[in-house]
Amino acid sequence: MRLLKAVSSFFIISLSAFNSAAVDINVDINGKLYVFNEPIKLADALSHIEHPELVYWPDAGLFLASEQTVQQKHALMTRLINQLALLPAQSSEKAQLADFIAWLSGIRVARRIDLPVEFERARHVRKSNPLLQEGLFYLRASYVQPQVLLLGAVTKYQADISADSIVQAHELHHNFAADAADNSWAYWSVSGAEWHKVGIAYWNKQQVELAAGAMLYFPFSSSVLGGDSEEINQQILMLLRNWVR
Amino acid sequence: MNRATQLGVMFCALFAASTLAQDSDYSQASHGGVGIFQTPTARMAPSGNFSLNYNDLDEYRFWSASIQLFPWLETTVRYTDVRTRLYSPYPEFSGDQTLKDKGIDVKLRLWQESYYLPQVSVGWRDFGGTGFFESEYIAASKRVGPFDLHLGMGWGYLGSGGNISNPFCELSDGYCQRPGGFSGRGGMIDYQRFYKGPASVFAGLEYQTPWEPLRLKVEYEGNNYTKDRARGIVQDSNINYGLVYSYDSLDFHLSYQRGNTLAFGVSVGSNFNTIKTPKFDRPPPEVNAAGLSAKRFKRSTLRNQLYYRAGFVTTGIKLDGEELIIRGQQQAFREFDVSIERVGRVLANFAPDKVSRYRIILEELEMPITEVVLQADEFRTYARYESLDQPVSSVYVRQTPAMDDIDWQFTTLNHGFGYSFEPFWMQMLGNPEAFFMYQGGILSSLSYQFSEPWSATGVIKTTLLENFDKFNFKVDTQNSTLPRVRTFSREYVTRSYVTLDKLFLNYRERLQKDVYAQAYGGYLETMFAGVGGEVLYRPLDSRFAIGADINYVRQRDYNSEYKLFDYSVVTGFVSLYWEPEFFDDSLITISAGRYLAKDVGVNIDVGRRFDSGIIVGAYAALSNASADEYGEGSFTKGFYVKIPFDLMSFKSAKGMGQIPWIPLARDGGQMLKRPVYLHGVTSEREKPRKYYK
Repeated sequence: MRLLKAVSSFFIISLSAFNSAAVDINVDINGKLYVFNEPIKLADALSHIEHPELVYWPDAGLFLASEQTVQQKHALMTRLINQLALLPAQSSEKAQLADFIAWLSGIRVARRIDLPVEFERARHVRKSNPLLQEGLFYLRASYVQPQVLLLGAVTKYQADISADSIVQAHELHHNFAADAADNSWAYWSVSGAEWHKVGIAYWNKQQVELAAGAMLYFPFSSSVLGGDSEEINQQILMLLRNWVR
Repeated sequence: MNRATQLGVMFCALFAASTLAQDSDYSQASHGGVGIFQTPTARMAPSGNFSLNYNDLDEYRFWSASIQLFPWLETTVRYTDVRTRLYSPYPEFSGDQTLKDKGIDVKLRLWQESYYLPQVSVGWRDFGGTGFFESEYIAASKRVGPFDLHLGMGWGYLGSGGNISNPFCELSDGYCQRPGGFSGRGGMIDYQRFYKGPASVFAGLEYQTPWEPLRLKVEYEGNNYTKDRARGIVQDSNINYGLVYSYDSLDFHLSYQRGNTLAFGVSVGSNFNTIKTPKFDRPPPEVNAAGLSAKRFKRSTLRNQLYYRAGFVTTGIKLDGEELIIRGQQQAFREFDVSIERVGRVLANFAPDKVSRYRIILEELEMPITEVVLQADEFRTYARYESLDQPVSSVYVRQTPAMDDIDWQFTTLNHGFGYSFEPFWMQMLGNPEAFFMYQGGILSSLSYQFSEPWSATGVIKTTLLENFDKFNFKVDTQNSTLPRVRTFSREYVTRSYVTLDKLFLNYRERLQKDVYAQAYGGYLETMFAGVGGEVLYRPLDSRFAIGADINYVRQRDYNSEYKLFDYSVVTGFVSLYWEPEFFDDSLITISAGRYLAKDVGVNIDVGRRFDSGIIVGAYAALSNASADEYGEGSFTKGFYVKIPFDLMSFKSAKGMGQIPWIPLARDGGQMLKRPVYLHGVTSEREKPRKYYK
């Protein structure tokens, strides 16, 4: 009996050791966690999305949990908090920057995988169908929202817009930019992966039409972020690139 | 004499391949460069922008090329045809050809426009030489919605109307009068004239109409035409106005100038950063889950696949346990990472599965230049897309090839014949006989490789089309105190329809890990024969390299394919090659030594490489030959555009063709055109470049 116990213990230990060597692949698909016992192709992960024909694929993204990205967020927040301390108390700019820091603290960030995520493309193009191996992945592929997301120095976080209409970037800036916003430039993006600079002032106005689902970032001006405002705004954009919505 | 050798077809291909429309925000002025009609503005075209312009203004016709070298630097070269005057009063010299003048302009942006401040630039137009339109200016531009407002102040031609007093004249009397003439024998920068004499303000307004292709322009100019070289120009108004219509990569200009002259022009534009040709290469091979079994592995199959799927000509293969080493030359793919990925994919499919490491030794002229090491498993994971968003550079290591001899198990023949054919195109602009003179044909090259370090090469030049029969003189009549080492060029190019351009022996060797050397002897170039050698120290991925060459040469007889003149010289240079961090994608070459005419000095060459791989450069030779000794032009200077063959082909290609523009070449400051340059041969030692960043 003892021998049997010893043998069975040996097998249990061996089995658990074997199991612990096996890798769990965790994929958070639109907020629902799936655990796979072996590496999974992106196309297989995408097959768990309901009604892929309704998804707004240009907005979709794949992220991998990354401590480094989280640390980058903390470093940026520290920098912004230091800058906040330099602003005069009671100023509207200070309140707007504080609002943004609070918003930033609440977002989840992870390393964006540099890859266009699209249902049919993943099924047919090998290069667009990587193997998801060890780690926690976030897969985001949602339906189009009837709004343009507004970020940065803003008075409102979204501008409602019907799914079949468009709005000019400079009009959104005119209506929703806060006092702390730069008065000449903004950045727009569809997926968050790439941000494009756009002139919105009287001297550099560009006709950029945004559709529902787009994002627009109003950078903080140098009066708020000081001489390094350009660099800090770029760091914010880098972080927004890794924002898991 | 102006001499420019190039592959002319490339120029056409440059624009044929263009897919970019002109930037509608900015248009070219009559003289070339961003501006209104007669006046420049502070605006700059997008970086890399290139415009070829033609403008017709009754008395003048302007041909110009403008390049935005950096976002803050615009350069323009221009030929002007003065239709009211003859090239010379001697019909036997220049027939009935009208007067031609060349000019160079530079514009520098001082600061960019912002919410409250305008953009401000300073510029110098037609500086140096005889300077028909020599001017200095400062200009400011501010945009308000669809309007672009411009204000500037000019001296020289732009300020000759003198509509305000020269502010510098208030500070010093020396600025009240503008000296005449030019220093040296022309071709020098006459900075002692800058900002002197009459000054004028000028202004402009541009309006972008709601119809996007159409732009309206009006300007107030400060020029006074009474002293124009065209003579007799009547100016009824200081206000010029007109329009620009854009269609694809073309801008059409129509204007009414001086209150009495209808002018028109056309600009064709491209951008050296973004210009691209679609490619129809075979796709890179997909990588199998495993390589071949040892039994199925065949070196000949591997060699063939490397050539057909990766453009890699294999000259040696060695399988040593778990390591596979190959050596050879990449002949199709100019981007290093693309080349390595393709080679790696072939190796992953056709190398034995037991191999855990691939070593790829890249050679040029049989000398190992760089080595890439790939871990087989890691690369296979990458190539099968089982890893996430990694560039290929994350799975290879670049290193300097070891000096050890490798006992190759398979090599291609290390001796034998090779041949090649390539077109040549030579053009000369602004000649007395005809403005545009040309010669084109085929360069046929035959080489024999004796053993690895030795080869013999002969190049035959066959002329197929030319108009050099219009030459009505060969050697110029100027008294030259320097030996005529280059001014016999017309004799050389008209010697025969079929000529021996080069015939030389070449020996090369890698002496140390980072040191390369070569020796050569024979007919080294069109005008000189002799012997010489070169040593180059070039560490891998370094921004610096240093080399030295020494040559003993004699001048070739232009009456004979083989004979030599008595003139001989020992010539050579020590050269520093530097890619400074503060100038993106630029190479500065500084060479100090002795020129062909035995003058001593320094040659400075600055080349700027754009994202497409096109290189635009300029050079100047400053030697102890005085301006009087040198003659017209005062010193040797020139410009060039190097165009990758990849831009002219639907298949990926390596190599470059060059279009030079030499305003005036005489005998001082002339270097030997060596048949092989080690810095070019070792170009794979530079940090891997990504095109179209």
